[in-house]
Amino acid sequence: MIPAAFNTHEINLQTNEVVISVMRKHWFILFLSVMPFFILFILPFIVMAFIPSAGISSVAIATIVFFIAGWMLVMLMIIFTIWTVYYLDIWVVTNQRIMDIEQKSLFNREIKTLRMDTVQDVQVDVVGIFETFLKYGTLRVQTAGTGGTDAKIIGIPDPSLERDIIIAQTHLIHNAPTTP
Amino acid sequence: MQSTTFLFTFLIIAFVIFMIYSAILMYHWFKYAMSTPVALSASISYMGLGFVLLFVMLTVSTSLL
Repeated sequence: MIPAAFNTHEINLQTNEVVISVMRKHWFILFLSVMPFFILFILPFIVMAFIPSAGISSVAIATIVFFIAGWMLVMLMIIFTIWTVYYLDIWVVTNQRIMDIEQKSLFNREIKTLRMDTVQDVQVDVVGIFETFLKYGTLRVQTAGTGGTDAKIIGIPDPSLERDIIIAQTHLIHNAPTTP
Repeated sequence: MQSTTFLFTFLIIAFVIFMIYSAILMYHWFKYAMSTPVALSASISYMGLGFVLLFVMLTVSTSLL
């Protein structure tokens, strides 16, 4: 469950705290975000294929190639930004806490921490044809004393498994023998 | 000659923006929850592709001199 490409040192684990699961959004979420820009990335080649080169001066061709390279450079920067935001948006479940590290944009990072012993309700939503067949969905966690959802991750792969992990962990905490 | 000057100015601006943006992305890759191999491969592929495109721009600009 814990990807190799993950540094646990950033989370500052407490004593006896063990990381149980680290999840990123489903690859299809990344695919949907990157696809339009990838099409724009290769668009100049498609356009060039349909433009007859006869009659165009070498200076004009050189200028067109120059701006195509510039265009591709901009698309490259956008695609890598999308991937970075995707990669840094993670959901960590330990035996004591749930951490929702939400990377909204390059300079917008929100970290929510929920104590496992306060978790009251875990809800899974799988809506739509893609979510059903590709097995991803939304996971919502509600803790005691709040009306709304405390943490939500959209597009998590296999949300039912993640819900089971959280519920099993809360049961373990609630049923743990208390020291006198 | 004027168009070449314009292309070179554009190239320098593109290079500066690319380098600043690279620094921003790498800051995120190396600072946050990425392990070193992932951050390194991301840096190599991003910088590699970027420099290839900048090199194409440079070659085209110099060919017009």
